[in-house]
Amino acid sequence: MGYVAVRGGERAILQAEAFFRWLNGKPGMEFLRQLEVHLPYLLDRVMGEGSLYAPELAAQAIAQTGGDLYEAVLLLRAYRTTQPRLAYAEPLTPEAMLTVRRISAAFKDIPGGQVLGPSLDYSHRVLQPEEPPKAPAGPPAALHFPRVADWHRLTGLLPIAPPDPTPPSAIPDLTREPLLFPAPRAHRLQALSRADSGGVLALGYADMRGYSGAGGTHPTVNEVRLAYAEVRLRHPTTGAVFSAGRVRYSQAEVVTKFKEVNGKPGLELGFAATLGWNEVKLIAAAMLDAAMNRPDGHPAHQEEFVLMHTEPVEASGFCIHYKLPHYVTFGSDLDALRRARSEEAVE
Amino acid sequence: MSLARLTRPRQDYTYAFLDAYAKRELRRRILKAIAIPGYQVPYASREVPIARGWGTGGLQATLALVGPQDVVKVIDQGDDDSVNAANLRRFIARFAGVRTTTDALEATLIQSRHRIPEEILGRQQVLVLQVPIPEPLYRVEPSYAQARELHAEAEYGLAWLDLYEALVRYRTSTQGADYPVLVGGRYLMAPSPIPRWDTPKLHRAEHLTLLAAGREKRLYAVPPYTEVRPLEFSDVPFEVEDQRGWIDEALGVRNKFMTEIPLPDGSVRYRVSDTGYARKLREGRAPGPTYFDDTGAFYIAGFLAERRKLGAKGKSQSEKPM
Amino acid sequence: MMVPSPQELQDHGVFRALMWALARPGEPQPLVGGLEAVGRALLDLETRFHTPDPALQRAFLRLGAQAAAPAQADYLFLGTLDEAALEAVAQAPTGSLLYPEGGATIALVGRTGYGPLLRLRGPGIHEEVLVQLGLPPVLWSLRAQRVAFPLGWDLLVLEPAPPGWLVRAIPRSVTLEVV
Repeated sequence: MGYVAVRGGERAILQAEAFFRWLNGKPGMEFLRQLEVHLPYLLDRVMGEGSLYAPELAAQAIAQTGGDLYEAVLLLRAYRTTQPRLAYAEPLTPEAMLTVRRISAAFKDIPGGQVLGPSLDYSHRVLQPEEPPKAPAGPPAALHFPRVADWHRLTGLLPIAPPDPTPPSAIPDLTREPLLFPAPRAHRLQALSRADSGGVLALGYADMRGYSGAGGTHPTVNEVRLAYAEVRLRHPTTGAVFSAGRVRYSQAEVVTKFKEVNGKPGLELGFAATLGWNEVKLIAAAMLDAAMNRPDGHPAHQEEFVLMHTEPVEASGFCIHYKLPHYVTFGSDLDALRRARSEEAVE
Repeated sequence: MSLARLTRPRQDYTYAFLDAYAKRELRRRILKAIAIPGYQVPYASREVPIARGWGTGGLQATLALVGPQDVVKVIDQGDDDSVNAANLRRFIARFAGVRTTTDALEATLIQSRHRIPEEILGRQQVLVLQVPIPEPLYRVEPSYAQARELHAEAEYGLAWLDLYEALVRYRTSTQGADYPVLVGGRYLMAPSPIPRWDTPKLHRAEHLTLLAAGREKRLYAVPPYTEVRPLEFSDVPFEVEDQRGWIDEALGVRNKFMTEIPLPDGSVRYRVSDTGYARKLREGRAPGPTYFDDTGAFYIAGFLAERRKLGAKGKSQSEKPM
Repeated sequence: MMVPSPQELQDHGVFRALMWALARPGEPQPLVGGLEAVGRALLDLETRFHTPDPALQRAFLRLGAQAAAPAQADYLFLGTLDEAALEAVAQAPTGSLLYPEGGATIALVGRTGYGPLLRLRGPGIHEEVLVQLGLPPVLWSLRAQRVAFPLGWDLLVLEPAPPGWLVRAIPRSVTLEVV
């Protein structure tokens, strides 16, 4: 009884799915709510890669797939394509966001201060930790912070870019157009935003370690920001701008040195942002954003290599497609191989 | 005036799953692909509820084409009952409400992974081939951006060199399935991993062939009556797989593409890969005329070179003494 | 049971007719409507079109499509071929070698049995097709200048055939000779 020789292929696949569901049990509504409350970073990762901000749906996707994140991301993406496009939100400005965490490695202190926010960065990585001792609370941190990059712009180290007049509806959209190279900046940033966290980390790490002959880009984290961003829409008839709610949003900027700015050596900015909070991915992605402009042939410095191979749905799908029957192709290849082995071919 | 008359029954999805924008974009791209035979048209390739790499391109093409009057056949490796084909067929039937069939001649639309049926397809039929790697130059030029430049200039020297090096090294082409072809004398095309047996079926066909790669976001087309010629040197002609000695004992059939089924004692059994064709024979229904007749001759005389003589043991032998 | 809406059915029918028309150049395919039905099936906010006809213009703008000058249009809908329409054809984009699909699709209204006799050969055509489309000879000399495979535009020639229409296509892949 072979993989394909199974009669009633449809019956087999229905049974396979039923088996999966039976093995993993049926999670209830309460469980989904608990997922949302206690595992927000898991949801953030899936929403960021899924390009769909919908915590309830993300929780459902994770539960329905038994925690298989690639499957969960595919569920969200497939769901997303069925949704109509109603409107375009107003562009976000980081200074205006309700920011809970904002740090910079470039300076000891920065306008607005270094605000750790909720973070495990300095915790002891011990299973079953004790409650940290309650320290007396100081004055509350601000909710809004200026951009560190703006300080660089004031001092001439970063170029001042004029505001982009492109209306949101005219911005190239990776979810509706194929990715062609060299990619417009919008496509590059969108691709990084929904890229596979592990894939981005691997390539970013290769660049960080300087495994590229040119010594890597030696970046410095200019700023990492975790915030709640308002989704602001224009009313279709009155034109009034209103908030449709808040989403978790994060962004990272890195700077590398010795790029030409107005004829003098200056800084180059690498940038990445995503829905939800995902620092590891963003720092690596921001570094790749800067690294992809390098002219050498290192894979992490080539836009086509980085963006094509960090696409989670395409990569995981193609990977598991190798499980599909390939016996016809294999048979054809065997024929060619046998002929070559028989040495009875071209004289 | 009743509410029932003003409303339609609830449908949580649009017909054929894809929303209107996705359908229109696909249809615009398909029309351009037909106008430029063999050229890979980039398209958005939205996600669908099937994993990438599992036929999302072919599925999108089918969903853009399908209408309620269509009859759809879905095969994988030639087999209607393959789990993957069954899954895609289930999806199409569910979202397009169409009748499905295993009969290649009854279908108006055939979605296939890696095979072209044995029976000759006709002028009202569309064949949709699932493509994993749409770029025929990928082995010699990994960057799709660079490959685009080569196609623009019809600069295919690297592909010829690749074939030449295989001939010099192995005295035969090493390309099994997905054998590169030149379409309309202009574009080098990857016909998808169909065996070489199926490659000639694209040449001056009666039917329309669409090829779609969902993950790589390219689709292309071969209209009817289009020249499709495998890459070959004039003194080393293209050859299909040598299965001349193979017999499907269960059907008593020769000279139709077969797959090998290894047996525990090390021997092998052969089975016709086109299960729709096999089924007709088993049920005593006459199949239609086939691309390769029972002697193994291709239906377009002279298109394939004479095969080398068959040796005593059913294996091909060179006529010249070693 | 999935059922298409009447608009979906119409758009589907138009698409299938255009598909076969381009796949078999010169062969007529039935259409339920004319230029407007073709636009409705293909246009939306991701496309740019040009038409001199104010009614078509209004209809297509309502679909969200963007009106553009002939040189920037993906789709041109031209009724009778007057001076202005021929000028639009002369300016219609022909794509680039890197992206030949940038060449426009031009929809015209013709009349079989009139005008120069054309011999069509190439992909989609068994041997050759002989046809008269009732379009002025200057169009064919324009085509000879502007269309050189893979560059060029793709023609859709519509003709009223009450109660519906017919469409024949001449994609850029066709070699066209005025007999």
